[in-house]
Amino acid sequence: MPTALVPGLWSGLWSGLRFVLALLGELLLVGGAVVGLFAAWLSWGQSPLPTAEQLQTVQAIQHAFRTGTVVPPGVVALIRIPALGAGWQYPVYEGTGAAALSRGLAHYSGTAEPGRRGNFAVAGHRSSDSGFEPLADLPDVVRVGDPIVVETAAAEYEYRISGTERTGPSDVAVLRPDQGRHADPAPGLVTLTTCTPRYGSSGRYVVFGTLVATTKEPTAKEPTTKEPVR
Amino acid sequence: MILPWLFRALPGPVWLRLAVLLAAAVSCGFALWEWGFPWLVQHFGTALDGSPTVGQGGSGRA
Repeated sequence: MPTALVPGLWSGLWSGLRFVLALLGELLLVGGAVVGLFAAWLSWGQSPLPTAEQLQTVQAIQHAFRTGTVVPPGVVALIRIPALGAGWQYPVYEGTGAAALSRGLAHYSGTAEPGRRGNFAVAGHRSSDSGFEPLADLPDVVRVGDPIVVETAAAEYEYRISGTERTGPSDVAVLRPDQGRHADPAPGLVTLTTCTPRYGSSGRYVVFGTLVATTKEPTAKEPTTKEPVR
Repeated sequence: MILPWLFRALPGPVWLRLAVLLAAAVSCGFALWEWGFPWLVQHFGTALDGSPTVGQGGSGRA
């Protein structure tokens, strides 16, 4: 190889290397920005508060409860936990299928009805791929003594949180009438379950409550999920 | 590399080219936030697999 070509070769190689390094550096910067944005989205991109559309659904159910008109199918109650936010309010649907969990909270079939003797057990998302995660903040904000308000067409029931627990996914004892901890079911109990850690499913975060007050008199008509006969 | 090339390739004054690039970056970020990340988690977010219902597993999301 002629010696005159060597400097030109090195110059070409160095130029090519600089191009590759500059491209790689820019791609890493953009990638870092995207990863940072993704971390921000995981933290702040999914609100536990209802959207405008969900709020309309809540208001329609509330109106039906209070006027004794037709309640949307599957709705058991409305639930409010003021500690999760002033606007935090969701419907509770019967059954813990994916459809119910994607629209609100879900009542464990076979457990007590709201305000009744026994355990009114409810599940809800803490994180979801759709961004619907009403109980996202639950373990961080609720404290013993906080109210959980459950509204039906018959009455409004105020429960007070009596305890919390982290347990395993197979611990169905928390759904029993005594919440699996020998609680007295006579006044009426409530149990909320959700996943923990937030983006995992290896555990369950459970909130226990006891009925302390019935704050609304029953309406004249019982709720119905069918169209009235004309 | 790409951004300087884009900057040079765009017509108009500097402030306009900067504004165009900034608007493109914000649009990309918004698209990622609204659709990109949800899609990503939905298709690859196996860490979210689970169910808040005790005694059941894998039928929904935590």
